[in-house]
Amino acid sequence: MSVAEAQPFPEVPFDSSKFRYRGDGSVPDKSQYDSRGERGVYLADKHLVNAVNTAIIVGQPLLVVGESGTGKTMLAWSIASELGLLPVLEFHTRSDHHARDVLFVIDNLRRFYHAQIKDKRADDLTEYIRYAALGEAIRSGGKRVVLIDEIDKATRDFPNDLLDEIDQMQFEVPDTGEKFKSAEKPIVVITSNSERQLPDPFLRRCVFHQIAFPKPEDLVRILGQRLEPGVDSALIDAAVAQFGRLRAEALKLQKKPSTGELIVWLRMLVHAGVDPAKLAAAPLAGLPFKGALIKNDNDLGRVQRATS
Amino acid sequence: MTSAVSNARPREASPNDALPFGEFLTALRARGVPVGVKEYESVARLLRAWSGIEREPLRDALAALLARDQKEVETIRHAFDEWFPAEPAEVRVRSRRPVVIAVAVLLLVATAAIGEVWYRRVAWPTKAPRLATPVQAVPQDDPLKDVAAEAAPLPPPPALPPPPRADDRVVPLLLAAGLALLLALVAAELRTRRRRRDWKESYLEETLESGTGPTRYTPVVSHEQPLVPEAWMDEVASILGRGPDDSPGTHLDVNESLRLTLRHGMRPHLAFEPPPRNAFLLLLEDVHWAMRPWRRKIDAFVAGLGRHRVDHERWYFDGDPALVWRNADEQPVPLAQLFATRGAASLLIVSTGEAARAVEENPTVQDTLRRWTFRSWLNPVANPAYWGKELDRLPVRVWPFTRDGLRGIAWDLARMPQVANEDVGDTARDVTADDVERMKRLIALVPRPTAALADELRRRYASDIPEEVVLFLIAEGAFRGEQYQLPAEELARLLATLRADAPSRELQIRKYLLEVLRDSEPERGSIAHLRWQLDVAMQRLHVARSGETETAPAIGALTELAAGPLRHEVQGAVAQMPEGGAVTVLQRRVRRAGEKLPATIASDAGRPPRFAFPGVVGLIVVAALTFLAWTQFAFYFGDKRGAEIPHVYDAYELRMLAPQRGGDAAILEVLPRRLGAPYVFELWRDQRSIASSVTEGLVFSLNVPQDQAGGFFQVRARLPQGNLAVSDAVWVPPATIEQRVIAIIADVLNVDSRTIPPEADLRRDLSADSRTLDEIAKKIEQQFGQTIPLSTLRNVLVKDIIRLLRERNREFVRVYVDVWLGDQRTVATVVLRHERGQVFSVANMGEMIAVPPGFYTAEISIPGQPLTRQAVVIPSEYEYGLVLRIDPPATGTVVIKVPLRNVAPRDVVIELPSGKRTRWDGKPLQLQPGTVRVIVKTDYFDDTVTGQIVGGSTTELLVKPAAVSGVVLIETGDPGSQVTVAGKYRSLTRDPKVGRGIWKLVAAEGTYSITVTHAGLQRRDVVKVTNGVTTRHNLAVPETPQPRERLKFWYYQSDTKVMHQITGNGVQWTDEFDGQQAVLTRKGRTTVEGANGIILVNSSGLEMFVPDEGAGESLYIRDIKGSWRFWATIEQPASAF
Repeated sequence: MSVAEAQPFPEVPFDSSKFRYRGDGSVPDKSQYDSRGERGVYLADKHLVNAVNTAIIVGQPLLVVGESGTGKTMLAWSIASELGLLPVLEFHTRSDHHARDVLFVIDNLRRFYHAQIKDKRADDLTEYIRYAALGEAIRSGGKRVVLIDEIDKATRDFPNDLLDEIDQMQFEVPDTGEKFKSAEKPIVVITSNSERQLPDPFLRRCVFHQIAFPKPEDLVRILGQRLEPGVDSALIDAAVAQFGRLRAEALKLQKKPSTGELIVWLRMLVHAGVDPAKLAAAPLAGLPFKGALIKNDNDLGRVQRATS
Repeated sequence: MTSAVSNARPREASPNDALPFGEFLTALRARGVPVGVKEYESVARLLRAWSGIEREPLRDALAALLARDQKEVETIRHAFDEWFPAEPAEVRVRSRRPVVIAVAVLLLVATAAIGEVWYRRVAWPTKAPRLATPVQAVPQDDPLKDVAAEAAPLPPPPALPPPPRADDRVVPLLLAAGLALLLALVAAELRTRRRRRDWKESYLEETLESGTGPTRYTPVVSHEQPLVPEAWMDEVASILGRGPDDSPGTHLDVNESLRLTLRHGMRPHLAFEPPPRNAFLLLLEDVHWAMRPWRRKIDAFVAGLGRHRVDHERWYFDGDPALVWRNADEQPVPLAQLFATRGAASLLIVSTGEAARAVEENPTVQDTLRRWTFRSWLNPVANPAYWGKELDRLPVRVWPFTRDGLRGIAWDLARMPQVANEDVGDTARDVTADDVERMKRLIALVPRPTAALADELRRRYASDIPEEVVLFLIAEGAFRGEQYQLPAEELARLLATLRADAPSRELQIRKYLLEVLRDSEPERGSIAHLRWQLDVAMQRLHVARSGETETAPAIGALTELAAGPLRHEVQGAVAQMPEGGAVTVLQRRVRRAGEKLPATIASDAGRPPRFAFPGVVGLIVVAALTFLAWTQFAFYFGDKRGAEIPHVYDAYELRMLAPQRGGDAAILEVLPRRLGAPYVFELWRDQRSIASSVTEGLVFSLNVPQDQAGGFFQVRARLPQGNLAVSDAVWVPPATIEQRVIAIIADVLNVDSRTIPPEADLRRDLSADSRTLDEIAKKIEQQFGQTIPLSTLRNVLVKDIIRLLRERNREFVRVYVDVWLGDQRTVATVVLRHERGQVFSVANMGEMIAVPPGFYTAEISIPGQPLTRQAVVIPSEYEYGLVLRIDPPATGTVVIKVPLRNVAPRDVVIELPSGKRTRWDGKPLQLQPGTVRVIVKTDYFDDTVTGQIVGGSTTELLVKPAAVSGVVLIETGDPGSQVTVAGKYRSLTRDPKVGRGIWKLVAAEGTYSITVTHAGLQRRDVVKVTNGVTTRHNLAVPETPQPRERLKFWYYQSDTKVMHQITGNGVQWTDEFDGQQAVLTRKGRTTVEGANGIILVNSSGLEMFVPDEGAGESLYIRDIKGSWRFWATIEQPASAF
């Protein structure tokens, strides 16, 4: 007997037309695109789009890794905007977080304080329960987008402890005995900076995607979205070219500048009115506002020597 | 593109396929991607909901779904491209599928082969031999039936020798071959590594040797202060310039001559260079190695002479001024020859004491020196305390390199008649051990401590140390060649001391050293430049460890250098650093980098060897180890792990026919059970072969002699492979006493034993005479050790002899079973179960039972008690008293049953064990153990029942005696009447309860004659007494009729029909009415019908008419239960109405 005969695959309630991520910033009617205060829309490459749609179809979390500044966190807002599932339920992982913190947190300190001053609210435990991102998603019962940011910062057991809740889409608050279950699986986006190897069982339950650093043409496209309108395209081209030279392998920078730093640098260039032609011809050591890109003394020395 | 995927998926062709992409996922597993059941499920879920038909998104989706990192993403995408190319791939699929199937079949066959080999290797458990026929339990109806042979537990059946094992050669050979291959690979790998290492060493050495440019660099030291103060040189030049030579110059000034000639219209004019003002100096400089530390100072001195235009010429000698030279590439010339050409010059010899010895030993040189008018000797060692004594014996005055010394030299050489002052002034202090130690610390900081750099460090950071400290360092051997070298241990000690004492000073010095190094960078690309990089990196690392800068750049540089030609120098330098922190990481990186091949290899240097076959020595070692391992494997697997050849356990059937009668022998029958069982076999008794025989397929029978009985018999035959064909082990019980006694009797009487029944009498039935009886007695005594008197033999049956012997042999024990419940002996049923299953039971108190000795479980049943089990041991005694004690519960229950109609509970009196009496309330009683008496006393009978109360049990006392009496109420009609009864009776009383004039006769059942006397009149009647029945008879003496009286009473009806007796004074009625009518019987009269107005009964009451003579009397009614009740009082005589 094969596995398929023994355990037929369950039907997945999936409306592909409703939940179809395009990665181009298109939003449903009567809704606004939200990029968390940033300008422009999030432009995803086709591999990332496919990975997101795969995660939505199979109902598994999407694990996104990549260099900092490549837009891992923004991906969740892009998904929520395009699918009309705003706002994103965010959970920013800290090193002292446990898996339960993704579901709910009980403010025992406040309750203790209320009990000390004989406040009657202390008798009601539900007053002190705050539901975190995943817990809120399960409670709401509808389709939501959950962002668990930088999971590699948490303890080693954190990812494995999350598996059951994500698989079952249910949890219980032991102190009150309340149980919550959701029929609709949320779209869980988990980001990692690859600072630590994640456990294999967790990886096997995730849809994996590594966001590669954008190519120059993609960078130009992204900058066109993120910068204020009217920026000279020649300046953008020159900045991207110099940016590429800085990131070149031969320079062996310890901390390569990322997209976010490029945007900041370009804004400074625009503000200072730098001539695109001069910028394109400048040696690396002569780049203006290098501090926006290079954050390390050794790297700065490398840049200086490279030009000398 | 659109249909590529659907066309390419091989398994999509089957509509029933439950695992799409199954083969693709299997291929991914083969490439290391962990695809499990969950992944299959995920893919299925994906495909179920996948709406697109494009290839690329599906490729990305599968990669994202199955991968765990980017490397696996690439692997999956690559595999996808291979399996599902963009173009239609039917041909590829068709060509690939057979390969996959073939591989799968090969894998299956290999797996099956491995499994088969493994199955054969495993020693599966063999069939266990059967035991003999189980012992039957002894029937309990005849405890003395023959169980002697079964009394003792059966010994274990004999064990068969272990089955042989096949000599297995394949596994040792395979293991040895595998080991040989493994060892060969290891040897090849080791040799390859060695070759690669040798190649790398050779390549790097070659690179080091063939490197362009300088191989070493010299630190360029910039002096903070001039080595020879300018004031000193001014003084020297001034003194030397005071010479008397004012002659015109002899050297033609060509330019000036030309200019003057042109100015004067081409008339020749000669112009000569002005002569130097000071004396011409001839410097003879010693270049002996001992002068090297002072060379810079000498150079500075000579340079100062030049700056002050002191004309001089510099010549050299090496320790011995006998031969001198001006240029290194010129031939040395004798000193005398130099004097011939330069004799007019002032001679200045610059040397330490080494040249003095040579001069002292060479008179020619001494003479030559003396020929120089103006001569002097400069010793660079400033402190004369460290000069040799030979300097005092020179023909030249020796001056130290001090300001005064230089002034003295100048005076010596200035061609002046003035004699120089002998006083050389104050000299530096002597060198101390502390100076040497401090100087060494400075040297320890320098990567390449040249004399110049060390001296500069001394001047900058320890100027109080006399420069003569160099002499001590030279004496210790620390100065070798051009630079100082300290042992590694001392170097580490010095660094640690300096770091502990003055870390800030160390940092300061290292920063200065970095400046020196920066100024000393040699030609790039040279080996010297690599060494310079090493020194710079080391200094930077030292500085970085203080926390001022990061260590990463220095570590990176050192790691890079460690992979190059200077790897040994890098490792040595790093090893000298104190361990801990970044240095530990650095040491590890440097070591690893040194083990790797260089990152770049010159194209003409060839390539490192990829593989090297193991050499002859390696092959010999491999062969030796393989042989050794093979012998061990062969020993291990051949003797211990070879396949076991099991015995054939059911090859024969061995049956035992038990003897039917006393004296018979047991018969063994052997029958081959399996085809191929050998005809020739051996019959074994226990562990000994007792007979050999041939069956030839037939049944083989053997009588087992009595002396051979009592053992396990088994048929064994050896099979060609060494294993055995055997039968079951059959237990032949030993001969019983009965068999042996009958056999003795039959033997003595010479008759067939089967003709001797156990009931036979020896004398009468078997005609045994005294002689034969005596012989029988002797044989019995001989075999059993028991003496039976002839008188006994004459008078007993054969079975009595057997019983006597069995009893004497303690085959049975006479056991008296006594059961105590608490402290009272009690009757119980005891069942004794022997450990081997025999069951004996005894049911009385103190009963004797004959049982075999051994361990028993006694099951004790006491009426009213739960079943109790006890483990008992019956020893091998002639008689044994088995006392079974059971602790009773605290109280017992007494249930009293009185199934008598006329007895009420109150008629029952209970006498408790304590002697106290109480009336019974009709319920069961809980009483302490003891004796209880139940006393019942009524008119009809009295009875006493005694019972024993046992704790925890229920005692039932049944009071049902035979009826002993009947009651006759005799109504005399007048209290003054007297009644007499003829015959025996229990009692005759006048019972006041039922009314005056009524007598009660209690007597046994029968007929009694009763005489009633009243007022002289008598009436005699005969009444019949029935046990348990009360009858009433009106036996009043007849008299004249009495006026009637009216008796009025009320009757409260509670039953529909009740029998009543209504008695008035002198009047008695026995009535029976049903609520409507009553029948009254008047004494001496016939029955009067109530309907005649005598008695009226209605639903609310009963109206009765009675004679008036009883007015004022009370009427009583005795109800069905026998109790009397006040009924009514006669209100008025009959005359009233």
